Amino acid sequence: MGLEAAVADVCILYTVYAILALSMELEYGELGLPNFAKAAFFAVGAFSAGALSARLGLMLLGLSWEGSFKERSWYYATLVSKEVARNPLLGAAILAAVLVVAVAVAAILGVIAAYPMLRLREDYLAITLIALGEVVRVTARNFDTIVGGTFGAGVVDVFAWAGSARYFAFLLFALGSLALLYAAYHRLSTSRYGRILRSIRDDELAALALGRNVWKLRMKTLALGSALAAVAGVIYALYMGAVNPDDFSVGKTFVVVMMVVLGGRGNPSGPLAGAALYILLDKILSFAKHLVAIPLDVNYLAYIIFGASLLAILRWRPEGLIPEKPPLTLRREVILSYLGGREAAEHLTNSLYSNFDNRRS
Amino acid sequence: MLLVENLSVGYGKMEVVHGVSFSLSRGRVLAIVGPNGSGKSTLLKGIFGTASVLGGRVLYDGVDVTKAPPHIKVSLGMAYLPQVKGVFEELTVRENLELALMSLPKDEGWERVEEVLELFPELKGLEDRRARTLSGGERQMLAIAMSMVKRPKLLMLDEPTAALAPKVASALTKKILELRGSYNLAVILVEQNARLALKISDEALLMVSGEVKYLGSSEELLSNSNLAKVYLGLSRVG
Amino acid sequence: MELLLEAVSYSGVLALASVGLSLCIITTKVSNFAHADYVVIGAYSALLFKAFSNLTPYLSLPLAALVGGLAALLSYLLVFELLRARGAVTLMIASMALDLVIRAALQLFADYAQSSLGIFARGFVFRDAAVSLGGVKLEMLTIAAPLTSLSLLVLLYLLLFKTKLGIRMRAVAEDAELAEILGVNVKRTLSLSWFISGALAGVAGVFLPFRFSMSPDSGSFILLTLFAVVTLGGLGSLAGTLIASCLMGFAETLLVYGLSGLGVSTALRPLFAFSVIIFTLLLQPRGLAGLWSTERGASPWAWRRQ
Repeated sequence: MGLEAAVADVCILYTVYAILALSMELEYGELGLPNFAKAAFFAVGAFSAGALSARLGLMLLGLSWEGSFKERSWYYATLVSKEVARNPLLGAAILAAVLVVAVAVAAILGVIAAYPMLRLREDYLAITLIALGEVVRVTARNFDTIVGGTFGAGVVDVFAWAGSARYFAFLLFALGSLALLYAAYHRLSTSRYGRILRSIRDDELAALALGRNVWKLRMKTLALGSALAAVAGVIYALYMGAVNPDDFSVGKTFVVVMMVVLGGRGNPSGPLAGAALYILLDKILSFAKHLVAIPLDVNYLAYIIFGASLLAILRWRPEGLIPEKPPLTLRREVILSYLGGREAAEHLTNSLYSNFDNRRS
Repeated sequence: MLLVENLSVGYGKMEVVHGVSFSLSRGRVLAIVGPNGSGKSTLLKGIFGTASVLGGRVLYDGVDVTKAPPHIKVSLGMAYLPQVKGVFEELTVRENLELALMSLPKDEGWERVEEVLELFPELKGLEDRRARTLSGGERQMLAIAMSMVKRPKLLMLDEPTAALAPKVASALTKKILELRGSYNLAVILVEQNARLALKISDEALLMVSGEVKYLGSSEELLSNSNLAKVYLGLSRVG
Repeated sequence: MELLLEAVSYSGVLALASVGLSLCIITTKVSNFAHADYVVIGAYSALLFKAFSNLTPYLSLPLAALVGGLAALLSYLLVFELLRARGAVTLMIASMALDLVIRAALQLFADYAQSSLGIFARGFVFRDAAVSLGGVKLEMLTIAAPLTSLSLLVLLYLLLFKTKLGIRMRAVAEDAELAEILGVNVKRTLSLSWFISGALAGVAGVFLPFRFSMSPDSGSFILLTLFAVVTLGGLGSLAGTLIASCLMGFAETLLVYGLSGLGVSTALRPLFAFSVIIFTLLLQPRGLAGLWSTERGASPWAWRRQ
């Protein structure tokens, strides 16, 4: 690859991960519940692109599909891409349609999945969500009509009209999306909505006592996070030009969690930093592989390094790279709890409420 | 035997107890009373070592034990009964006592649960019952038995009569006094029930907002209507 | 008849692995996502043993127990003990990170074994010996597995309920802080609990390759089933886990037998575990243990109600 293309490649990949990290940050950082089915929602976006782009393209062109999806998706994707090269509007239409479907499906799936699961204890929630992610992946893997099973599906190149400036066009699109989403996220985070979310994260009982409809808020947030992940999936699939179910395993979810923890929870810039760190590490490792002949498989080594760094961060710098900023309005209890930790806050709560209940349990 | 000098205790960086000093000899009962949130439990935890000491010293038989971890203090003869939960509910009475016996140095103290039970006839017949099935009073009795196992010289109790019926509470305090007599224990009693605590103790420490408002004879505190009324809610004194 | 024996063996193996997991959950309050990896480690220990000694893998049981136990012990000392004060979510993520690291390490090991030692280390199986018992021809596994599981579980029961160490372990499991106040060395007790749970998992790992093809990644497969068992049995209840492992062992064996007759892919096995989890949580969240005890055990449904 030429240098420009290589740089563009890293940047585009970065935006995908950054958006994913933002979506996880929304759930984990602001709301306190990591969505371990993240890979599934990422997949929804990608699969929308994979399943629909070629089919939609053909439909818009007035052609009909012959043959099974699995065998022909690549052929038709290329065909449609050629048309897009001549007709940018076709590309735009496909892009828009895919985005809409992806977001809609992800949001709906998010709400459905969230419904029974929002009431579960953390570890059960995790296991259920992971299992859900796996179910999505295995389904796509075994039902060829979705994205061609293990063959994968070809995705239309919606920026084919840009010719050799394709990378650049993609880069603009990706960065633009990231900027837009980040701005929206930042606004959300600093708004009342963000504060409410964090209050739920920090002390659910208190939030409930204050009359917050915790449950509804959780559901909304999960739907939002899922939609975000799906957008990342669309970008990813469109850029890769291909979709393969095995790309969307639990490992992917975990990498995203890692990004959020590394970058800093509870801070909108955190995921950006985290995604950057991850890509940096990843590229360094693959670069090192070329330089030094290590007898070990670099992929696995990478996982070990990632896992170990995550553990180290959790132990010694849990707030991540960019720590959370304290809220703008500080109540005495909040200040004290920062100083003294949980016990201090508990002690205060005890003394405040103990008039009603002499016996603390 | 216990000398507390200017002790400040807190959680993390938040100071809850500010510079408390008092001393206690063996055979004496000290009641720590005061309104909620005044730091009574925290003070006790600071002395024992389950809360951070932010300043001051604790001298036990002349030895500076301020920084010593709880299990060392236990081996020196300090016993601590935490608020509310002092027994293992899933274990039987016997198993609870055996657990307490376990960490004793080889040739010290009782060797068998039976010997402990001699001291606590209230627990006889309950040996194989899970602690969960005991009444509140029986549980506290078990908790005290467990702390007595180590033949302590100093017994620190954090609200032992909380949530106990008055009759049971007085039976418990009677037991404490009995033990004090038999073993010449020094006893520190943190209590919400000020009247009861002041009745059975020799000295009293009144804490308000982490500071000492009164340190002296319990009888005097009980009859000092101002303090008693304002801080302890005792309208009829004596 | 054969099917019955299969089910019994599978249940036994499942019991060993899930009781270990249950033990960790009870004592340290962490759902260890890396637990299934201890099983895989046990399997690899057996593989190495067989490769180097040319003896039957069954003899590697002590080795597998030791290695599995060590792996769990190290996990505890290096990861969970350091993070003891953190919340459940953090612990969980830590265990996932640990899982990732262990699996990657196993992958590297498999590469090494294959290239440098010439051992076939991916997707390996053990071939079983046939034994003649009273005229009936049986596979060794159907005798060894249930017997081993039963004896180990009985030993565990005796340990927990009839020894002083058991009292310590149960006390620490209930309230570590109180145990510390009473002078118990909590760290040492927890270390032992973890070692035991890892050892049990390791032993389970010796039996699995007789039926399933094992790879470094097998952990993720196994974990889901283990969680299903623990959920079904009820959190905080070892007895529940035991019974649940029998139920699930039987059910799964029968199901796979039935499905293979229909030609449905066994890749749907995880779906079964998943359904068990979902149904248990919906219908009887406290699991089986909830049937006979109302006080004990935590509910997987947090009190966050609508």
